Amino acid sequence: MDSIFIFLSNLVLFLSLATLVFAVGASVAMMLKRRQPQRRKREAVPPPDAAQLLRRYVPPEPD
Amino acid sequence: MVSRLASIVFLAAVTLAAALGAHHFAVVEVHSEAPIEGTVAGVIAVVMFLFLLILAARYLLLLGLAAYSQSQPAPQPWSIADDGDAPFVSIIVPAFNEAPMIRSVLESLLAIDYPRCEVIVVDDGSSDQTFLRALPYQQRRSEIGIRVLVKANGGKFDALNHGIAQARGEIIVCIDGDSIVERDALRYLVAYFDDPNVGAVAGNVRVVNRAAIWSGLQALEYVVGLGLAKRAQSAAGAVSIVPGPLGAFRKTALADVNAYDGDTFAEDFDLTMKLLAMGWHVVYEPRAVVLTEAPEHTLDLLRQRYRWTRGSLQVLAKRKAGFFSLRRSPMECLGLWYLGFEGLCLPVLHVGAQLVFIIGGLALGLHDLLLYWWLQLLFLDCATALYCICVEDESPRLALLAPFFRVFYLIVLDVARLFAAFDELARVGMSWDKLARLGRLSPAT
Repeated sequence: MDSIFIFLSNLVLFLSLATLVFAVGASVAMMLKRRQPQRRKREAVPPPDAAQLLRRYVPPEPD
Repeated sequence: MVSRLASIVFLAAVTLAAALGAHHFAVVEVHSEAPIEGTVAGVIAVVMFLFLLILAARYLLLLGLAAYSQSQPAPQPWSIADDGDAPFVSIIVPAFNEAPMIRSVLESLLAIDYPRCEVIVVDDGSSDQTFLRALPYQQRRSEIGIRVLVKANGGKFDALNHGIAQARGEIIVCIDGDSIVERDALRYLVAYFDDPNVGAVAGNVRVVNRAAIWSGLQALEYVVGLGLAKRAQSAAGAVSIVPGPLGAFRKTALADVNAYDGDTFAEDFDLTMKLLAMGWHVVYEPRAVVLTEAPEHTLDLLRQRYRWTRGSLQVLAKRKAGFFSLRRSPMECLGLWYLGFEGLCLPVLHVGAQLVFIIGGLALGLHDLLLYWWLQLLFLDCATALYCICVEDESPRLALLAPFFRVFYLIVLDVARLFAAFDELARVGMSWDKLARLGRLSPAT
């Protein structure tokens, strides 16, 4: 009976710890995923003083 | 008969929990032979008892009020004989990128058994086929007229306000763009508005996709956590949140409070608090059922609860003067204190207690206290779950998930809530972060 009790109490301790670790890990993963789209949006917008590297082809005027 | 049996089961469980508690104090006596472990064990035992006391008091208070609410005669639903006097109802459906669901939602609304109503779909600038899929319903000839409006994207609150401004009904029913309303829901909702003090009626939200473990646990949470609380609050006419998936409002009450505001991410909570602050009664009708999809994946669930937590905290901060307005607006005051306790205090206590016991177990070998703690929580939660399942006439299979409810599910949610609370305190920016629809819903046949 004692050994069963010891086993159960150790199992409960392990499960409690595992639940807390899982909860913290999942919450951190969720927070990181939330912040990623905002970082991508900021990276997609070019800085205002960026040089215009592409020039549109303008054909010569006909004679 | 079933409720009485459930009550007996619950009381037996509370008694057993108390007996276990007394026994574990005896265990502490054994540990107290060693001075350090004994002192720490004593502290842990006191913390444990306080938490159990708070939890048991909370359950007993909610169950007592819910039982009282249930004992009061509920208004009779509108019947065929009364059809001539049925108030006109406008159903507002705010929709943003709801293409997978919009047809199912509209089919369910067309099947509603109520003589005088209209449906107003407000497409809030969707980038998918929501508008194109809804438009044919406008041309369809049916007893229930459907109008499909489209506007630039302005948020859910803006879409709702836009629909309310166009509504002809004296009663406005607001649903979500993915809600399947049961056929008789309107008859049950409308009956409460005979009482001129009633400003809003909250519907009963049920999770339809229960096969996955997360959504199954949410189905249980909606019954035990949300449904029980609404029943209890309804006893005082002070339901604190009329849920987005199904809520009925008196149009004059909405005009009284300028309908929805857009300065929080919990516009349903905010609106309900405004109604309570103006003295309107807000009640709950468990027979007015709406089916909804719950997130099935871990991150989707945590994203939803992150938004709910931050939205609730925003409302609590916005309406902080209401915490001390017991005389001026008692219902708002009670609602704010209740949700402040549930949304912030209880998660802190719960996670804190769990940490204390884990540290006690790892550092000092006090595993047995942790086992007693689990057993006591288990009995309390299982008994409450059984009672709520009986009263709500829900599937008994939900009871199988009760053992995992607090010791696993609520811990995960409470940790996410604490993260959300930190973000809210730090004023981290946030977006609506809409979840993808799973398409598990279909109109009831």
